[in-house]
Amino acid sequence: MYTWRDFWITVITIAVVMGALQLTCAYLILLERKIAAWVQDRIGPNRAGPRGLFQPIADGLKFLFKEDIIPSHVDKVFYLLAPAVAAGTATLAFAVVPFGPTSADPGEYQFVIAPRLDIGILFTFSITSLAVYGIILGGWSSNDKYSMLGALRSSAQLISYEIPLGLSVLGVILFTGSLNLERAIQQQIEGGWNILYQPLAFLIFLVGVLAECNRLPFDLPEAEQELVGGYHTEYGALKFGLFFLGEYTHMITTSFLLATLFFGGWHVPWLQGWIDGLGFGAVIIKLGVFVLKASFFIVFYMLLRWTLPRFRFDQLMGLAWKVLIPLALVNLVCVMIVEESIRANGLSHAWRWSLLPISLVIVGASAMAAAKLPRRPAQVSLAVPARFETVPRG
Amino acid sequence: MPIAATDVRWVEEPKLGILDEFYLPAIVQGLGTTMRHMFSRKITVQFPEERPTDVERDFSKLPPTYRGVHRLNRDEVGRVKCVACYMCATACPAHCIDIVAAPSPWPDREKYPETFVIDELRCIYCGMCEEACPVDAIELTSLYDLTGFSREEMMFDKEKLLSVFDETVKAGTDPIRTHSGRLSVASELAEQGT
Repeated sequence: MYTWRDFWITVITIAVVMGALQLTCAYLILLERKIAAWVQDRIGPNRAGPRGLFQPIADGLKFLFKEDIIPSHVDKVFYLLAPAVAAGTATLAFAVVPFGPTSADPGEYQFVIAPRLDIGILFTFSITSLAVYGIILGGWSSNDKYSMLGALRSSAQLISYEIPLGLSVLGVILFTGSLNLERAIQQQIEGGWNILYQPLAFLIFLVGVLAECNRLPFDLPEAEQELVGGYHTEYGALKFGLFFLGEYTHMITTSFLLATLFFGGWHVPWLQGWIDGLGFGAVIIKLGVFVLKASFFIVFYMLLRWTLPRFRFDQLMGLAWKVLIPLALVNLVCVMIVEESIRANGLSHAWRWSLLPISLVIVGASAMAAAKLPRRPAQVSLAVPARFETVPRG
Repeated sequence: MPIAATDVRWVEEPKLGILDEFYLPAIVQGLGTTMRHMFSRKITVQFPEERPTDVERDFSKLPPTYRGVHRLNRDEVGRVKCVACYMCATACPAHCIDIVAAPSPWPDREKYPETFVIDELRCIYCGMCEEACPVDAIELTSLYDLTGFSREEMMFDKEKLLSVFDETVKAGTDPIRTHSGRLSVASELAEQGT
């Protein structure tokens, strides 16, 4: 039963969430710059406001008031469409992702724009994949080599990571028995976080999500060092800002997804009963816990950026197709077997715990197999100056 | 100099063990390095408020090899060391040194610079002039905050360059290359020849 009240609640939620999302994106850019600086033993932006806290406002104003240049050699329609697609799809994907306390039953207020959408995960995946169109359109219509290469890399990346990403999440869906994200949280509250059952699926999902967000080590379409910014080389002013907005929104979406699918959403183990009794306080605490979990992943992305070197795109494809897809498939088959045996034999759900050792065995076995496999040239010799002592491996 | 065969060692690519094939330990190790740097001491010098020379932190002092404003060195008796050989002007890739030579009033050398002008705005501070100088007369000091209100002001003439020498000697910020107070080998040979 959809009433006018529901309609207005949705409109207000959209307005508030859009505002919050853009503000968060702005401050994530500041955080990114700060972390980049700290990792490089620098201080980072500290001139605009106390400790540089007004820097995002200055950046935003700069984006707004810069001259809006459209190079003469671009395909105007697609050139203008691309940033809109990038930012639009990113924000659209956030619609079904819970960011605060939700319940699987109708009634109370849900901290998600489109609550109880039964195709939740499917919707997110299909829309986030569309974001690549923004990149490809931008790269193609810019009509220059760097952008084009960025766009091509992006399409190569897409066909690499999407399959393991989808396969890894299937195991979780089998547990939940639904694509509904609120139900995924509910199921984890009852049965324990999915990370404990399927650490392998989590790892694959994490790698896929890093590629999906174009974050290092998979930021092939951008690659500042090789492609001078890749697909957004020709963009300036607010159009570039929109690409940025899309990218950071993507990070937020995937962080909340990670927290939702594998870390129990707003669930706090052992304290849940106490928190539920707090009334309105419970809402605040759950919101805080959820945001905390998501921001942990965002900070993790940023730290990873300064830790790992960029993959070549054939390496990414090799990793995805030769390692992640087989691992995800094996993982999925194991989950299917365990679930089906539980259902067929009427066993208790505690038997799901058998997936934890199975995951570990799969990871161990694959590492062992990789160590046994012959490398391309069996041994490679390098000439080094004699004065350099090679560091003994330990 | 070609590399001798004894200078080369051949190393084999190390075989990856099972732990290495996990990749995860290496990533965790890398994250550890990242985290260590995140909380380590910052080396930024907040320039207008702090200066690299007056911060107590040792590592932020300018190195003595820093290439800043030029100076023209004086010898023991306070004369300009320069012998107006034009080697610095020839070596200069930016063509910023302008010398007018004149017969030397002193018996120990043939020429001396009547005027010696460096366009500090044109200079790229590469240090090739001091490398070219046979008598160690021109040097780059560690003065880094060079500013002015006009282009003319930034044309440093002989007096200005000599005063930079006086200032840096007084401040004790001699460049590391200085053989202070002694003319170099080339000028001594000329002395012996007469």
